Amino acid sequence: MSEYVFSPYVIPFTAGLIFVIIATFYFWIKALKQLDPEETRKVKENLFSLRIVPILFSWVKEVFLESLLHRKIFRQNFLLGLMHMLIAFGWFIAIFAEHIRLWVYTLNPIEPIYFPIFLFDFLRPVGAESAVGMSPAPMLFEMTTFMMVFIFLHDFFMTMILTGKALSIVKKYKPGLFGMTGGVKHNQYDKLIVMLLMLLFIPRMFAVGCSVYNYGDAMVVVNGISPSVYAFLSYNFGQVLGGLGLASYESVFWWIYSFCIGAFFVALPFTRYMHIPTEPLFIFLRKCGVSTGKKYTGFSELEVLSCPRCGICFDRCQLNTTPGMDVEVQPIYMLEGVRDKEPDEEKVFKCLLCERCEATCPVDIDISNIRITQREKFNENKFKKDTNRYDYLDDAGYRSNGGNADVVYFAGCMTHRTPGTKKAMNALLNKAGVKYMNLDAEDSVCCGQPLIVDGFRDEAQKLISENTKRIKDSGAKILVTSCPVCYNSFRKEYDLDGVEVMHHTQYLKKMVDEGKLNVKKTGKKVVFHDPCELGRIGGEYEAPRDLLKKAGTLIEPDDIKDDGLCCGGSLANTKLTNSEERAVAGDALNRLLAKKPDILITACPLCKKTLEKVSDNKVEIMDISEFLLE
Amino acid sequence: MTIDVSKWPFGVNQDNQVDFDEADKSLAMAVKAKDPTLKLCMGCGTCSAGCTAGALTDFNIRQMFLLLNRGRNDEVAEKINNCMLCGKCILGCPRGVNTRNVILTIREVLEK
Ligand code: SF4
Ligand code: SF4
Ligand code: SF4
Ligand code: SF4
Ligand code: SF4
Repeated sequence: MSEYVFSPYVIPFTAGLIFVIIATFYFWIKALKQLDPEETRKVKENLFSLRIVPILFSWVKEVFLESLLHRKIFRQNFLLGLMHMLIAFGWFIAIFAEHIRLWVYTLNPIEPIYFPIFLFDFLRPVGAESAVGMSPAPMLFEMTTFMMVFIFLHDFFMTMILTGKALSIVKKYKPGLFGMTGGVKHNQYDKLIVMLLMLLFIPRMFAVGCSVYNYGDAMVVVNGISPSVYAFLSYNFGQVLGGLGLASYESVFWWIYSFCIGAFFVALPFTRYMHIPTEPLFIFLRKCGVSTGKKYTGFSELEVLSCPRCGICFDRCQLNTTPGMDVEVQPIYMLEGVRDKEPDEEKVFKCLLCERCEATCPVDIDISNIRITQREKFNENKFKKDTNRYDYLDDAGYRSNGGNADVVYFAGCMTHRTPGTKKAMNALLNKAGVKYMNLDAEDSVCCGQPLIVDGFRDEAQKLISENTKRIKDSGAKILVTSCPVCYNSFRKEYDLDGVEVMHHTQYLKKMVDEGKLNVKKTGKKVVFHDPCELGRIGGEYEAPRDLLKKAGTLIEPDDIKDDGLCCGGSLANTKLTNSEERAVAGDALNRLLAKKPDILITACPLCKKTLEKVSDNKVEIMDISEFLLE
Repeated sequence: MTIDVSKWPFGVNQDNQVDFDEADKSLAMAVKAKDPTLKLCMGCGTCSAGCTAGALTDFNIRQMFLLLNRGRNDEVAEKINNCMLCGKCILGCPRGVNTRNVILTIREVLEK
C-alpha cells in the first residue's frame, strides 16, 4: 500500500511512543555499558554459543509467565495475581490481536506503529465508509467470520483489562482481600501515572463505542450471530453512547485517547512503569547468569529500574507488620532512593537483612546485595577506609593446631554468648566419635560477616584470611558452625579449597543418618523457628525438621520456611532501638507459640538469645543441639 | 628518696588524673547526641569480658567508653578500630547500650 491512512490525532500517541522507545534504549545502553567486564564476558559467551537457544527459550517463558501472567503474584494471593494478570496480559494480548487483525487484512507486516491502536477507526466495515473526515479514507473490510472473531476478541480482552482495573479500585478500598495492608506511600509521579493508566481505557471504550455505533447497518449479523453478541462490549456500549447523542464526537474521543496514551508514555520513564521496558532485558541478562553480587553494576541498575513498586515487600517486612511499628526500610522505598541517586541513610541501614521481602519479590531482585552495596557507598563517604585495622592479628600468636582433625568446629561469637549450644555440640560430637577440634575455643576471630553486612567488606578481609589460615591448618575436610551467620560467611565469602561448610543441623543429620548418633523420640511437642540466616539465606529448611521429627513431635506454626519470622536481633542492623527490637521479637514469639508447643527450638544462637529476652519464661527455648542431647 | 616501682611485684598504673574542666568532652557529647543509649552505660564491663577483640589485644571496650567520657579522645581513636563488630558485647550488656552503633558513631565522629 502506498498511502497510509492517517489522522492528526495519532500524533500524541506516536510522539509518546517514540519518546519511550528512545528512553528505553537510553536506559538499556547505559546499563549495558556499566556492566562489569566479567558480566559482559558472561553475556557474550552465551550470546555467541549454542547455549543461547535454551536461554532464549527460558527467557520467553519467564517473560510470559512472570511479566504477563504474573505467576509468582498468583502464588502470593489469587486476587492480586488476577488483577495484575488481567491488566498486563489483557493489554498485551489486546494489542497483539489487533496487530493480527491488521496483518491478516493487509498481508503487509510493515504498517505505521499507530495503526493497530486506532484500528477501529481506520479499518471500517463496508458500508460505514462515510464516517469521519479522514484523508485518505479509511480502509474497508468485509464482515467475515474472521473479522467477527477478532472484534469479539478485542471486546473480550478489553473486558479483561477493565475487570483488572475494577479490581484495582476494590484493592484500594479493601486491600485485605488482596493480602495487603495498603499502607504503601507512593510518590506523586507514580500516583499520576496510575491515574493515566486508569483513564486510558475509558476514552478508548468511548472512541471504540462511537466508531461501532457509527458503523451503523454495516455491523451485520454474521453466521447468525448478531453484533450485540460478537461485539458485546463495543456494540452495546456504542448503542448507549449513540442514544446519548455522543456518537458524533467520535474523533474527540480518539483525540483524548491518543493524548492519554501519549502522556502515559512520556511519564513512563520517570515512574515505576519503567519496569515494563527494563524487565525483559533484566530477565535476559539473568538468564545469561548475571546477578548482583558484591558490586553495584549496570545490572543492578536494571534491577532497580525493574521494581514496579508492587508493595509486596512492604507487607512482608516485620518492621512494618509488627504492631505499632512503621519503619520505612522496605525495598520498595530503599530502591526508589537508589534509583533517584539519593538513597536515604535510614532506609538503607535500618533493615534486618532477614530477606523476608526478597523471598517473595515477584521480580526476584537481589535486594540484600544491592542494599549492602549502598551501605558500602555510605561508609565510603563517612569513614576513611582502614584495611589495616586488624593487623594486630599477625601478633596474636596463633599456634598451629596439629592439622590432624577430621572436622573443625567453629562455634562463632554468638554461640560463645549462648554456651549451652557449644557444650551440647561438643558432647554430641564426642558421642558420635568424631575426631574434631574446636577452632575458636579461645582467641577466636569473628568470621567477618557482621562487618560485611554493615558495609565494610574490604575491612573484613583480614579476618577472613586469618580464619582461612586457621581452618586450612586444621587439616579438616568439614567445617561445622553453630551460627548460621558464620555458615553463610564461610560459604559465600571464603575460599576454603574444598573444605565443606556445614551448619550443625546439617552435620547432626548426617551423623544420625550414618548411624553414628542415636536420637530417642521424646513425647515433646516442639515448634521450630527458622532462623533467617539458615533458612532463607542459607537455604536449609529440612535438616532441622528431619532431626526434630525423629526426636519429638514437630508442629508447624503458620509462618515457616520462606515465611519464617525474623527475631529482630539481626547483626545486620545497628540502628534498631532496643524497644523496636523487642517489639519485633515479641510479635514473632507470639506467632511462633500460637499452637502452644512445649519447647521452641531454634538453630541460631542469636535468635535464641533474642527470643529469650522477651519470653518471660513462658516457654522453654532451646537450640536444636541441646534438645537432641537431652 | 625515690621509689623504683618497677621492682614491685605488681603493676602500678601511671598517675591518671582527669581535669574535667579541661577535658574535651565534645566528642562524647556528639556521640551521645547521635546514640543516646551510651548514656545508659554503667561501666559494668560485661561487654569487655566477652569481647572478641579484647581477647586478642589489650583493647577494652568498656575502657573506650570511659576514656571517651573523660575526653581522652586520642587513646580512643588509636584503639576503637580494633573492634570486629561481632556483637558479643551487645548480647551481654545489661543496660541496653547499643554498643555496635556507639562504636560506629565514635568512629564517625572522630573522623569528622
Ligand atoms: S522490591 Fe520486589 S516486592 Fe518490593 S516493590 Fe519492588 S518488585 Fe515489589
Ligand atoms: S530484609 Fe527484612 S527487615 Fe529488611 S526490608 Fe526486607 S523484610 Fe524488612
Ligand atoms: S538472629 Fe536469627 S532470626 Fe534474627 S536475623 Fe539472624 S538469623 Fe534471623
Ligand atoms: S563488637 Fe567489638 S567491642 Fe563488641 S564484643 Fe565484638 S569486638 Fe568486642
Ligand atoms: S556491658 Fe553495657 S553497661 Fe556494662 S560497661 Fe558495657 S556498655 Fe556499659
